[in-house]
Amino acid sequence: MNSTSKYLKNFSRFFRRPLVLGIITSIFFLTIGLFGIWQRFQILKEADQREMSNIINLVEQNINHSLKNSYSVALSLALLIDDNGVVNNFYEVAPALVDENPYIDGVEMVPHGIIKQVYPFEENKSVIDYNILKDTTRNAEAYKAIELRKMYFAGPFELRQGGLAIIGRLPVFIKNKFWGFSAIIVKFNNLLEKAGISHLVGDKYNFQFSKIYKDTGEEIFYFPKIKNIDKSYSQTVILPDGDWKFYISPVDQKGIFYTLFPFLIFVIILSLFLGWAMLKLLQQPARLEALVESQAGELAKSELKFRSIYDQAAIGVALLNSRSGRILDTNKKYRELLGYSKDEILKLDFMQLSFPEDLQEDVDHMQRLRDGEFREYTLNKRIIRKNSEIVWIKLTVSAMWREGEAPTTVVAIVEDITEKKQAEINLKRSYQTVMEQNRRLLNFSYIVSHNLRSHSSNIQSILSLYEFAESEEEKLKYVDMLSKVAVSLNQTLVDLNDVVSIHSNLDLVEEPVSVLKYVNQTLDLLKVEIDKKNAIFNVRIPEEMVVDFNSAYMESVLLNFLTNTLRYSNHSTQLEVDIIGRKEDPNWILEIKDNGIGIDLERHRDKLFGLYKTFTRRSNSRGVGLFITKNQIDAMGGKVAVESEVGKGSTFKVYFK
Amino acid sequence: MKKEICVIDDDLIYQMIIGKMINRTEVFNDVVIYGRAKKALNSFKNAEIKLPDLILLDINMPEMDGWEFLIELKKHRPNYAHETKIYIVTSSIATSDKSKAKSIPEIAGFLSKPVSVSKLKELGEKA
Repeated sequence: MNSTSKYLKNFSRFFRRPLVLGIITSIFFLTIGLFGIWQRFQILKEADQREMSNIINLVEQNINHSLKNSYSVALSLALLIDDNGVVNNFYEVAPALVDENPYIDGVEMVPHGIIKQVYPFEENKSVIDYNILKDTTRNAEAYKAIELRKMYFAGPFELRQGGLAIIGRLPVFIKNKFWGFSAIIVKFNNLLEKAGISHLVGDKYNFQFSKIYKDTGEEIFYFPKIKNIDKSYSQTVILPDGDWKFYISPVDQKGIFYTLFPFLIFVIILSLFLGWAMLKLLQQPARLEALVESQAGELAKSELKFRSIYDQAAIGVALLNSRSGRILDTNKKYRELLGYSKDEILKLDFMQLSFPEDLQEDVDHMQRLRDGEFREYTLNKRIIRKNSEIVWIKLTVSAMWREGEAPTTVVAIVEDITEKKQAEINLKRSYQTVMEQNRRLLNFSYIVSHNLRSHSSNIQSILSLYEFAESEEEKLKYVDMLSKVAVSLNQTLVDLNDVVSIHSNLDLVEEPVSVLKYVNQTLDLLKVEIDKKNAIFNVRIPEEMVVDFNSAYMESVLLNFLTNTLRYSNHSTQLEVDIIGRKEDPNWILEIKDNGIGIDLERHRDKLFGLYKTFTRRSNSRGVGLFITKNQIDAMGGKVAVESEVGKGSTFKVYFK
Repeated sequence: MKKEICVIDDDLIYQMIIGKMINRTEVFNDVVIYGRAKKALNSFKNAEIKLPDLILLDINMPEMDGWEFLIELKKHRPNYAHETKIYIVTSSIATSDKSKAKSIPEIAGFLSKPVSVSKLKELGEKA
């Protein structure tokens, strides 16, 4: 059963092969063509046969006509014999019979087998008295005629008097007793001519004439040059009066074949062509199939290539459902980036992975992508790894559906930019630092140019005046002025040194400093002045307020702020200062609030912390204190801010690191 | 005829020096010196008072600096530049100050300290 179906399968597969089918097609058409040709051949052959048959029938008719004539002549001669066996008037009758009858060439009277009378006499006289019955070479046919008791034609044979002829012998019986023969001679050529053979047969056919000797079965042919007449392709007729057989056969038997040969060639070529065409036709699908197969192979190869690129890529790639945000597929790098395994990540969506602060932007963009506003978006955001680490990524999301189609999936390309981001932050920070330093430097160079130059220009001017001094008294005045300049110059240099030292002191010790302790210490230091002013200092600093600060700076900062409150107090009101320490998570803030003269911040905010910027007429202000204080706080990583109203007081806030 | 001149500068030593120098030029009447810009402004506010021919103005001063002084003066006397020639005289050589001075059309010139007697004389003759 199984083997049968297998066999069938093999069989059918064999027959589905283009070559086999091509050959079968060729054979099929060849068969049809050959069958057609064969049919045609048969028709032509039949026509041939019919024609031959017609010819031969005519020949038979003609010969029979000749024989009938011969018979009637022989009978006429026989009537010349009287009851006594005497032939009367032969020479009167014979010429009439022979000359009038074109079919016969001569007549004989042969009583008792001996030729006694013959006409035409001259040419046949040599046979007079020839006894045919005694001639054993010739008498068989004579005896046959006697036996048959009817006319029988002997020959054709070579006559004794010469010439090939047939002799028709009519046995004559008188009172039932054999008398002899009345015979007629027909020259063989004449017989054939009168049969019309030459013009009936023409060039197209061969003919053959034979005599059959029934006793021996021998057949003698009279046209020896045509030896083997093809009996299968011939027509024959038997003439019993002489036991003759007449054959006719085409001269050129292959004629029909030649006629049909071009058709045969045509059929063969056509069959081969059709077979070839079939082969090509059937090979076409096979070739297409092969092409498809090779293309599929290429596709598989490129798919494999793509796969390996996808998996080995140095950036994370993921396929997501644009609606649910669910992760459908990821490459290795993507999973590494997020720290999840393949199974874990397929249960997540991008919203779960997103850093909460950055989620909304991504979700909004996704919605706009789905709405077709754009085909792709890129943003920098943070994601949360499995181990809760935060990673900065550059995310590029591309739509995977065609424009105008319903949204399906998106491809997310994810690049870890944490280091880049960190570098960026560092860069920004160092840029700020540099800018800050640059600003300070500019400020410092301004100070140097302005404050030092003011002294140097004074010195120059004094010296030029000194040169043209009119009196000793005047000269002394200039020297006095010079010494004043020297004092100012010295003060400026001291101030500048202070400023420079804040920033150049690289190994400042930062330590936990109790703010309350230092505030109390400073207030102790200023006790005399506070008492003199009758000022009130309210200190509300929690004991746990401990900040990382350099202790010397802490002293300096507090001393400066508190001195300022004393220096710039309203003369009319009692000075009251609140010193408050509080925590604004995670940093500590120190507030120093007074009810002093205040500062016009609108005019002076940008100059407030500048060097040698003074805002009052009070001559003891030099514009150094706040500058140094701010620089010290900056150096400790803190910030300082101010709120103030002219006439009502100021609040300075120190934000500790 | 001698010209009227006024100096606005908070530097006490400079005030003395410039006084002497102006005397030496002999093209000016007695100099009027203001140590504070606000004080000078107060006296110039009154439009009936004639402005001096020449004002030497410092930039860096406490309370009110030279720039503020010019803004305030303009508020009270919009066409002060027709009445007086104001020169910025400062020890600053910062280009920012120089370019700022150039941007104010009412300013007649920018001088860096120290100023020489001959320069003052030249200004006096021009005024």
